Amino acid sequence: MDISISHEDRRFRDEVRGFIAEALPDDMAQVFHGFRRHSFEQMIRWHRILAGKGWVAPNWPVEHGGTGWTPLQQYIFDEEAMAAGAPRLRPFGLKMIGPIIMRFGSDEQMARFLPRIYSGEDYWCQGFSEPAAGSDLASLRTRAVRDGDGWRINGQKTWTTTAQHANWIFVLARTDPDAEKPQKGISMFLVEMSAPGVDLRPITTIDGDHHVNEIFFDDVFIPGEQIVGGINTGWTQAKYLLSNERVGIANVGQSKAELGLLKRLATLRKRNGRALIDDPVFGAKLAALEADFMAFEITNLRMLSSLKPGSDPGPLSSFLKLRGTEIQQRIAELAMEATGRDAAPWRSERKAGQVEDGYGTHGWLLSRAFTIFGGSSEIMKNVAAKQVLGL
Amino acid sequence: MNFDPSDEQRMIGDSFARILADRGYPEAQGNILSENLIGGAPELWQQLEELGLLGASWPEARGGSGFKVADIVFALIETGRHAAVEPIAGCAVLPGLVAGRTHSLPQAFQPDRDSAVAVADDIVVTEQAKDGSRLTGSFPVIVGGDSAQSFLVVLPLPHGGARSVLVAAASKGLTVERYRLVNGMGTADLHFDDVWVDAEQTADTDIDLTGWVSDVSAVLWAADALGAAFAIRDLTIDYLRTRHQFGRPLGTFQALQHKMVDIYHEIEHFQSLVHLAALRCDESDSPARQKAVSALKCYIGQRIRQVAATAIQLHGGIGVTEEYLVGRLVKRILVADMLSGTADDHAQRLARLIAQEARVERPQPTVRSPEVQSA
Repeated sequence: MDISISHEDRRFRDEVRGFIAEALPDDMAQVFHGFRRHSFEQMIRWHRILAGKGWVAPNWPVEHGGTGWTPLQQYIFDEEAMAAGAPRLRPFGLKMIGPIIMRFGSDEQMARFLPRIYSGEDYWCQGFSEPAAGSDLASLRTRAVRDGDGWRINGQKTWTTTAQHANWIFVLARTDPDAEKPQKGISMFLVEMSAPGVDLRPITTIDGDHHVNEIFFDDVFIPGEQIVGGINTGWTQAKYLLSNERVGIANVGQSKAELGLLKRLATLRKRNGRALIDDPVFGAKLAALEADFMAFEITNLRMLSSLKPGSDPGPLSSFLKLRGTEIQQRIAELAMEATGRDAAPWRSERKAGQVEDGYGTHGWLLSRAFTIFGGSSEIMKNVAAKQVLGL
Repeated sequence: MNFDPSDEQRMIGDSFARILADRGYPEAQGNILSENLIGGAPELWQQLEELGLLGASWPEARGGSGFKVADIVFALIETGRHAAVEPIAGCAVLPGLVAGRTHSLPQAFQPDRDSAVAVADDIVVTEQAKDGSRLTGSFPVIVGGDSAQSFLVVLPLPHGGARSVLVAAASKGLTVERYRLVNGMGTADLHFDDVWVDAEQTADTDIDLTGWVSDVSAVLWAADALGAAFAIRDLTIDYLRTRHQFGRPLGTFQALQHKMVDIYHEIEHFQSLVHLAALRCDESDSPARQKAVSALKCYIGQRIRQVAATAIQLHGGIGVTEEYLVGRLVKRILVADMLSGTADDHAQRLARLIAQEARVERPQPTVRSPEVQSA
């Protein structure tokens, strides 16, 4: 048992840190260290900078542009980028549909889509959830029927994150309504957002922001070559994606950076005439959170150091999602408490000098979604009870 | 980075597991306790000695195996898993670890199972002479102190560093008050009333030995609690699979499944912290060690005690009986929680370390700071 980082990985960390210090635009670092959230434009700009360096898709196989880094090195990169205040890249292209196309797609699909995901030319969104199919995803109703060489899709998706920026969406639709099990009759389609019949309506979330959307499909035609994997095998692909997604959702590097930011906030703010970080009541809460985070960080490293590149993360990922999202919520909660009454004004009413959006009631409100999306905590526990405990 | 146990670590864990299982643990714990043997069964100690396990943590130069804290926790995980009552941590492991940490110890302090280590911050030197000194004060809850023939008392020195004093249990003026802990382990309170100690029984070191011994003790008890937690987890899963109510196994009820998942994953995180803290105890960076140990102690208090309570709840009535094993395992978690500083003590220390760290973090770009007085 050895917890120290190898000489090679230390050199790797230095190289990564050096590059990020050089390449990360000031405006992005300032947004993060100023307790604000990155814009979509900043995220895409950072995506392109990393693509230029060849580092945008570390999780991909080398032949598709991956870096060949070990899972631990990928984590080190993530940790460094987050600590420096870089935007978090969205997972939909790089970590979801990209790996699906590599594993289940045709050569033509790989040649057509992967380079554009890599470069940032295409931006993807995820068409899974529906109004009547949330946790029970397999009950989805969006229908795809044969039409000549292609398919016609009708139905509705919801909670589609950042779809307003996307030019492509991957969609789960029912292709065999008579299958013996609902899971067996589902396929995965690649749909252009500009295709006739695709309509998007924004949903405003409780933090007052526009993160998610409803997407309507009204007789949308999909060419035959835009089904990915086989007909009626969409569920296998979706499960593969969700297990990848849950590791990403653990966001250890991001939580570490935000915990650091929370501590800095607590050195700046005052309570009863001293820095908040020296207040015993706040200090006890911070200590409890730190203990949970330290344990979580090591558990994540245990998982990463046992993973071979390209292998499935397995059931441990559901545990990491459970604790990881809880920690993110508690960071948001303590940031709100640290901000105190200055967190109460609604964003549009705020004066200069007040703590910005990520920190305060808006951050807390947004964080409620963390234990819901990508499989709610309760679903995670159902899965773990079955797969890990055999109950 | 590699979290797999080494061959040696696996070996010491397996050896302890085998010897303790041979003695009938964990099922026979009740019978073993009724034998009322101070210090446990002589055969068990003999077996440990024959296999070279008794001196495992003593430095190789002094006839031991030189096992560090990170190695020896694998033995303690087994004492916990098997609910053993022999004072192995206090009387065999800790003295050796101290000897591995510093050479500045009294000459007569030797590997045998008859000495226990006491970190005695309430004991003061009342008289200092050329040929010796006098000690007065008390120290409660020295685990293994009931069977120890001598005590290595570690006192903090006023200007930093520590003094180690080897005191025979039979010394004039020393009262050893013997009793058992809730987990069945023999223990003693020491009362020093002007106890004379010869100069050669005393050694000073400039390292913070008291802080280190206290942190290492916390890790040893935590490792024992981790072993107990593993056993609790396995017992509880098994119970949920086999116990039927309403015509089906308890494990098919979602409310119980979710509680069981909580138990399972808390123990995974607990395991992470035990190994982290153990590894930090072997390094020289004391803030990093203090941080890891305090996080571990907070975790036991805020998470693992709840795991213990939930495991009892999932068992229903049988879980609150003296006879059923789960209760005896739970008591080990409570002892680990209470000794070497409570969760509250450690939360306070952790908060202080976090505040120190936050003030020396690497400089951030200049941005307008939200420095506003909050109510």
